[in-house]
Amino acid sequence: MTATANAKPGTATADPNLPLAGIRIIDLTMVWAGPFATKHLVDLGAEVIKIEGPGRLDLVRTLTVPDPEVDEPYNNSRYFNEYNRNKLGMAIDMQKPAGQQIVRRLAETSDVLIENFRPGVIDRLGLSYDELHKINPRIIVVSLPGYSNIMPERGIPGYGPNVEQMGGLAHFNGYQDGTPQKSGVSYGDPIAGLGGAAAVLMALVQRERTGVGQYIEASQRNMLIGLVGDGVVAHQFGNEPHRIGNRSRIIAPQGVYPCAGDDGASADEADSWVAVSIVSDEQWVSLCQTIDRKDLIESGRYADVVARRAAHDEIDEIISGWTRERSSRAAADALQSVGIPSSPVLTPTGIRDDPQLGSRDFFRPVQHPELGEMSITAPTWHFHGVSRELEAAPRLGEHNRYVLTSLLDYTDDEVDELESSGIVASRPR
Amino acid sequence: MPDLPLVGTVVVEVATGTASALASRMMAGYGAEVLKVEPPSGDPMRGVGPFPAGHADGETSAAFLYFHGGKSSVVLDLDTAAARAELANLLAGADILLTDVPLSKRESLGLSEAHLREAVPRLTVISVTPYGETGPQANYLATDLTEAASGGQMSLMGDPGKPPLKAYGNQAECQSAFHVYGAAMAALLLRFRTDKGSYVELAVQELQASAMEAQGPMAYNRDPAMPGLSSRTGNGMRVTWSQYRCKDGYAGIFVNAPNLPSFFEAIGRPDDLSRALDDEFMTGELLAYVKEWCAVRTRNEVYEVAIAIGAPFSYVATPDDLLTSPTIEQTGIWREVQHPIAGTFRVPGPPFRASNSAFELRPAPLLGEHTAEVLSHRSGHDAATVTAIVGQSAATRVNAAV
Repeated sequence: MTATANAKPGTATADPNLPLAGIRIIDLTMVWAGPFATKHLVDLGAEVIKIEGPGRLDLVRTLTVPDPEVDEPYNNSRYFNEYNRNKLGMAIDMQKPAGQQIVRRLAETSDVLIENFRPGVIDRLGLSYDELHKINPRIIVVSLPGYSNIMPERGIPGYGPNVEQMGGLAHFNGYQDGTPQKSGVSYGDPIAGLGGAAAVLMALVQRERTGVGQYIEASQRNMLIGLVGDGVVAHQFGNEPHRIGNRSRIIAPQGVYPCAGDDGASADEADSWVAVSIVSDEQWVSLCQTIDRKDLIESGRYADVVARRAAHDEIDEIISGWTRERSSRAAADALQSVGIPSSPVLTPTGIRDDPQLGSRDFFRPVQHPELGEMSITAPTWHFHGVSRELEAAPRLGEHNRYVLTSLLDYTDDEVDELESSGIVASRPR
Repeated sequence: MPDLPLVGTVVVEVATGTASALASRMMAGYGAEVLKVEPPSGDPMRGVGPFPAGHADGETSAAFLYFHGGKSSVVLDLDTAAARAELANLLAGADILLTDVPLSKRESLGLSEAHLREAVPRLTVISVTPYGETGPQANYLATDLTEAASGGQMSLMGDPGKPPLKAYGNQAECQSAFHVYGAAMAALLLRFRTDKGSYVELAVQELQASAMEAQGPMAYNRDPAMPGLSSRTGNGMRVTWSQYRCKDGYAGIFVNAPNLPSFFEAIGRPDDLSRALDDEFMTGELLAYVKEWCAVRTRNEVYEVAIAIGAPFSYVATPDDLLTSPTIEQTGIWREVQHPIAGTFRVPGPPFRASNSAFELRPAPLLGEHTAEVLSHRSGHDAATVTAIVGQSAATRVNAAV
């Protein structure tokens, strides 16, 4: 028995005023989509029991580890800590019947089980909705496949960029008249995660009335199709979308313009950009005044959106001439001060240093046993009058003993036996 | 028997953004009564298009028809006191308000947090703003482009050496729609326990900045950036993680370590698995081979191999591909809409495949189509009073539509 395997959760999990206080969730997901779903649910106060296996670690436990030479690198991932904050952690060998039995017993008193195995795996583990429904009719089971449980696509693995292609979004994305373009982040994952969280919450609402749970497949591909529904309708109207990059079909000019770096680097070297939209003729006038080109107002050449769209390239050059002389922050603030929508194109580092996010306590310090004080993002659903205390993600198997003896009725001797037989563990196999 | 999960729930939408629009569309599909409050000139999205041939009339915008399916349109000119009183009536009988009205205008419309808490304590308010309701930028203006820029994800999209690229449409707000939906459901759950509504503040910037994959958590902790992960990598960063041109479009090969055996088998070179760590081989000989392998195949031929071997290959699906795929059809996603002016077309319907949750959609409403019905049903007004409230021009539209 290790010391950490006996740990009890901190006080942060016990706030009774949170929307999901008293809701227990078994989380069998890993990587991004599923953990992002349960991140939102744990932020709302749910008790989320994340179950990995001694031979089946969440893959991101070994990514983004600041110092891979530490004793337990798998407990030191930034990525893992961000998306698995406040969860309880178990490591159970679910290939073994005794391991499956633990999960089934947990399911007797749980409200939700969420998983993102390949379709079919959950059935082989004896944890299908039909099986769990027999022992707990109120349980809600949510699966997050890339595609669906339907042949022939049920056997195909799909990562975010695959699914983004198959869902149509990549076709619509792209520079003006360019090729299809993939998103910068694995966009299908957060969409699937949010959809998964929404599915859980909807099913909980419905259960208040019906008294029973249900099975929900939240397909990443299908949810992505829902984000291009307007394009699908337009296609049926005979409008084939051509890619327009950062421009708009309605207003002009609109684009991102090169800026000097915050460190004084020239615009050619800085890879720093400001986004600007001119949504009205009045804003165009304000822009001309701000960039010291009143001559453009007087000439009347670009007075309306039709003229501005026709001369978009030319206008982009004019705006760039002004933005290149200042930082993206200075440019955006100057334009916002005269009522023009504008923002720096924030990089991950820019997000970290952003004054608006800083003023809203978007970054929260949590204590991590090895990493010390680290920064994770605040809950984003601000229920006014309710607060959520945050803590680091669980170490592998950190709450094995707590869950087995406090939430279930295993004795300490039985837990010792499970540990010695490798059914539960707190180190990878 | 599947039933409508949100039956009996009344939602009022006083918003123009896609986040509220898409979220309330899902609510409507799942059984809520969604009252979309529009000005006499209509929601701005009615003017966006694209439109079917021969139309450009405010009733047939593809964007409006999609994002506002299943709702009722109630025209209220909120510049008038009578209309504002009517909005207050609607809110008194509602469960959820979705709003993205600029903060500076909320008090005058009776939509401030303090007022709503006092006047309708059981109402849940989901308030969406670009930057949140506090802080130095709370009143900054935003568009779909600037929202994408402020959230961080855009900085990672696009080709190296080219400007950052915004995704299609308004993805900043599309992803926010799931937050709106989820937060509204959570608030309903809380109300079962407390019998009180919630005020939930959502900042589109924060919603994106919390979804920055690995790059966010590293940068937020001042860790050195990982090579290839801190800036734009275009359509691929390595031979096994790229989009490729094929005979009739584009294919995708996005392979992580566990899939390497299936990848090498799928491209007909199983013996090269042993060379997967040989950079010179992977970036030279193999890259050239994979480019050619894709170039001589159609998208479907690439996909057939993926199915046969179980490799994470894909292709860039067009709208036509989506609409004609038998597998997608079988998931039950499509709903046919019969619209009185735009005709018959199909839309993506339920976001989930649920064993016990039905999803049904009426067409998107004509402007003011339900004003008279809603105001008389919810406030007990007769036709003359409704006319007085909504104003003569809007009433004409109402009568024409009813």
